Amino acid sequence: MYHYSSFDQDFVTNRVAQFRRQVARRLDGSLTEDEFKPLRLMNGLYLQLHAYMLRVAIPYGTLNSLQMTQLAMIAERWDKGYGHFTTRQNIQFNWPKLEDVPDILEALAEVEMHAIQTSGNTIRNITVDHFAGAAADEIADPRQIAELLRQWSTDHPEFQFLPRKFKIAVTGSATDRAVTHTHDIGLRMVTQDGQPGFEVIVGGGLGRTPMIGKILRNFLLVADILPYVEAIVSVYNLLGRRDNKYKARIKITVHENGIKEIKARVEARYREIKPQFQGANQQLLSEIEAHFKVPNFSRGQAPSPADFKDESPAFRSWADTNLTLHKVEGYAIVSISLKKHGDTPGDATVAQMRVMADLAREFSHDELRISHEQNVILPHVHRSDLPAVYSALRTADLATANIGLISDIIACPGMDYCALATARSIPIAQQIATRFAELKLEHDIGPLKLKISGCINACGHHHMGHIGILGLERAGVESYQITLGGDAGAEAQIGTRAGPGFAADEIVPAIERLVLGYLEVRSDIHETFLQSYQRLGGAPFKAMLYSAQ
Amino acid sequence: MQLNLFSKVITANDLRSGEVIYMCFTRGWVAQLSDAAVITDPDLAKASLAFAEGQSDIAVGAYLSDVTDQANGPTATHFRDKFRSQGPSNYAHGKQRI
Repeated sequence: MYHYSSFDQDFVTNRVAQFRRQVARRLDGSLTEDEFKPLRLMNGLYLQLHAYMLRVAIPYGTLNSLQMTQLAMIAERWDKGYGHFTTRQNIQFNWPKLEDVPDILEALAEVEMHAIQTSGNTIRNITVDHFAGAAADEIADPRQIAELLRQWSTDHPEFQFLPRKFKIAVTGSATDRAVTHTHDIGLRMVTQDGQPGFEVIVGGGLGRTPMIGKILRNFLLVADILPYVEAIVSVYNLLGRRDNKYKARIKITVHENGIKEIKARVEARYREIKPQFQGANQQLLSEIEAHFKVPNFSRGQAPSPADFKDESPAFRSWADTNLTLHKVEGYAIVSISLKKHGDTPGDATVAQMRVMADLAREFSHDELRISHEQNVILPHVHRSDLPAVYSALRTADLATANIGLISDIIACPGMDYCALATARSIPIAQQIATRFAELKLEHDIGPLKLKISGCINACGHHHMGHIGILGLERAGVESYQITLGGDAGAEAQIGTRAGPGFAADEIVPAIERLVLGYLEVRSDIHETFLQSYQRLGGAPFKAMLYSAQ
Repeated sequence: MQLNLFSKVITANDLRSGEVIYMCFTRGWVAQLSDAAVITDPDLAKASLAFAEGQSDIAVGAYLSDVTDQANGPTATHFRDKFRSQGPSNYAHGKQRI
């Protein structure tokens, strides 16, 4: 993985020192809150419902064990003993005190981390397929490109005050695990004449106006990615609306101007700026590539799944759901579920973070990934080590066998923490997971993506859930609207609103009716919820939802 | 009995800790809603809010919050302000621990 140069380290260290002085000036009254707010936001510090919240960037979701251990130390020393992993592959600390934040940032800088550009109208943390560098279906590891984009976009003088925040996602695989179609820019690796390159998607987004991105280029050589992305962002910087924040994202710019006009402007700008790069981007990329050495996968023979027949049923159940095929024979990708039934999705305690760090060090070539689905990945585990990994995870309460199932719920913090939220998400996720654990049906139900957002900003990606839940306020109480048929995969689809919302005490029974109804109408046990919905249309599912009303 | 429809408290977040705080006329800023001053006069509310906003070295984001005044002190009317007065529902990390 990438390691800071002396330039990177100096930059981050200087930012910490600057922020330390800014905090001191705020506390001694030299800065007003209006003056201080943009400064704290530039360093990822929000003021939420109950406390400050510090959002720390985990570049493209990649961590080593030292970094995870440091996050645990921060949670233990300055927070309340846990961290919350987010759908942007970041981590949030929900309870830091203002005067402690410079020390926290200093501790992050010690392990090559920071909280820069985790807020504001800038290019945010670039997200990547959480199986990058490990997936069997990958064309190439896309993290080098993500690191190139990270270096280019960090403190980029032209792009610190964009019309609105800007999110980029990259995948190196045809199986889209990075939700590229709903990002401001989505980059999907493809090949043409044996050459790797990217399909460039622009103008996707969720929020109050969900849109699937449009293809701007079917194929762009890897070497051209930086000038092309700069061309897109500079066109947006000029054309994007600044008169209305709800119309300021690039999805609206593309919608209002048309993809043809955007493409013409981007291509013109690309031709103009490409020569200015003079190969510096290629030099930088080759330096970055040297950091991403392929681990030494030379342990050879490993047990096949059939060889685990003597392991416990619990192990085999976990292996069925939480393992993914690795690109190297003998290895597996382990998904650690942070969705134990009844727990808060995405939360890990200090002890759990330390266990995951230890496992990464001992069994996964010192690598961890954070998924946008709020789980943690050990990307390179030799199959012969799986029983030992499972045993350690089980001891740490991290062996829930539910990846991709109904209780593997994405949930934003909602009104339990977020100042923008209009309803709570976490207790709804907890109740649904608990209910389906009681029913002991989730393995029979099979793959089902359920995603919950506590407001229209859609941090919980509810539009993309096979079942989406959006928490709103209606007449002074929490109300939950359901969308059906969303799909975050390669054939991206935005879910369709099913009908009127449900009260907080009605939403779990409604989801239960819906899912039990699906079990009745599916053509066979292999037809997933989404496939049934696509085959039958929305009407029977709406009838299931509203049959009790 | 005539109900007083105007019943508010002033709430904000503590600058240093970020904690939810309430204005009390006798004890300054307090941590518990039950200790907050209930304001039933619109002019006094306006003046008190202006005073609170002037205390930006202590309190951030002051605003008027609707309450019902009950025997054991004010209770938030809106669910958002109820959550602020109690803490999050997934952990007893907020005011539940006090």
